[in-house]
Amino acid sequence: MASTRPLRIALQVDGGLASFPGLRRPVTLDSGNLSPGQAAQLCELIDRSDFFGVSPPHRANAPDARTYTVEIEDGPRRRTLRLTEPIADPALRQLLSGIRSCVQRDGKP
Amino acid sequence: MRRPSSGPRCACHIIPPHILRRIAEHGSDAQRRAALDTLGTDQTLRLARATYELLDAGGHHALAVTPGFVKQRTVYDAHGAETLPGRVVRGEGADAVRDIPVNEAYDGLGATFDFYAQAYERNSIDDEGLHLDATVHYGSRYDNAFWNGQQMVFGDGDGELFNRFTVALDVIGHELTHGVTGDEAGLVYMGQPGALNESISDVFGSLVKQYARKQAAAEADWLIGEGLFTAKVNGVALRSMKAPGTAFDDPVLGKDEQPGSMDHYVRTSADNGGVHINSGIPNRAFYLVATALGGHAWERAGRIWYETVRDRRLRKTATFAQFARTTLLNAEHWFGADVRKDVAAAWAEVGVKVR
Repeated sequence: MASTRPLRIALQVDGGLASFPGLRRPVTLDSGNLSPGQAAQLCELIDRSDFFGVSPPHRANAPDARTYTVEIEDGPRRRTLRLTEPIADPALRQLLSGIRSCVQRDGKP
Repeated sequence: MRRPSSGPRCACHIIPPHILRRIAEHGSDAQRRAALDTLGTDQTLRLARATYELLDAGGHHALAVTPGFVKQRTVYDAHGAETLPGRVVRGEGADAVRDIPVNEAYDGLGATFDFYAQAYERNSIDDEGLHLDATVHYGSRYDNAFWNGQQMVFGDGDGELFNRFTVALDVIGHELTHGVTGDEAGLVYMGQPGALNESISDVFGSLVKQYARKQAAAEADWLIGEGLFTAKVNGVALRSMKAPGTAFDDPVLGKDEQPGSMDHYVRTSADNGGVHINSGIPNRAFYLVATALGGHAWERAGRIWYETVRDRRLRKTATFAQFARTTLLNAEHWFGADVRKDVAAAWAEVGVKVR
């Protein structure tokens, strides 16, 4: 299990089969507002995906595919990656899924 | 496949290639010669190849073994994962299964194939008989459907905002049409060419639905994605071609922001420069043409749009005005000056100035 540390994550979803202005609004997660289990899981997914070291994924040109802009502040480290579906890297896919799952549990769009 | 000639088709090609092939196969010697001559004037690789096959093999014997327009569908199940394509759950000709999205995807692929084959003599997405693949149950509570360049991908929806994405036939037609546009016009998926790319998918997605229902333009709902929203959403569909900007107005999804004319064109960096937003303008232009001409929209309005997508004069970076001009040229070529006037009036109505 990775160590739990202060995290701030911003997620913005763009594209898809239609444009929904309500769903385009960025949502943020702060480790202070997450359960210890959620925060620890996100730290582990960040480490496993090598979020701060991985090469930016190739953006496939798939009409109607969604693009996720993920910005993570993890202590002194900060990085933004744009992930377009279908996301080939399984670890990045799991990270995104983990982030979205926390957002949904928070009841935010 | 895009035809390489710079102008529209010559009138002799109003006889579809498959009919010509049939004449070449079954007609008298004189009829066969005429059919072969006509096939030979079309410069597409596909027809050139068919012609050479005929000549090399001495005529109808080669044609008898040349496959015609044959649907070849395969539906896969991703079982909630995000890896493609998944496990095969229904192949071509197999009986329906218990899983509804599998059958909806299978039927939707078939309806789209049939539409293009019967309305425009097009042999699948690439006009070369491309096998049609689709994956259902992609991801967990996945709220989208897309064409990845090789196949269709359908999510189940989250059940809160969206139902399963196989539920709407026009969405299946929309996605497969992205494959057609990619094969023909290759419109860049950004800004105005991107909005045209989206609009073309809506046009033919709607026509796939209208064709399946045998509806006239006046009877169609001109909605895209009706049935995708759950009952919790305040909206009827993803988009309205008839009245852009009126499809939904919901506390979570926001308000449909599609404009119906250039007066309200949206300049934005979101959504690849508003490809799903400004597509409302050419969508409404098509609706206006189809209802002005009356009857089945796929027969004249759809034919004009289809030939425009295939027209080499249409660049990958086409603006609305350039696309509109190409529709006028094809309207006149296929249906004469009066129909060209109706098409021009529609573009004028939505504020697209054609030079």
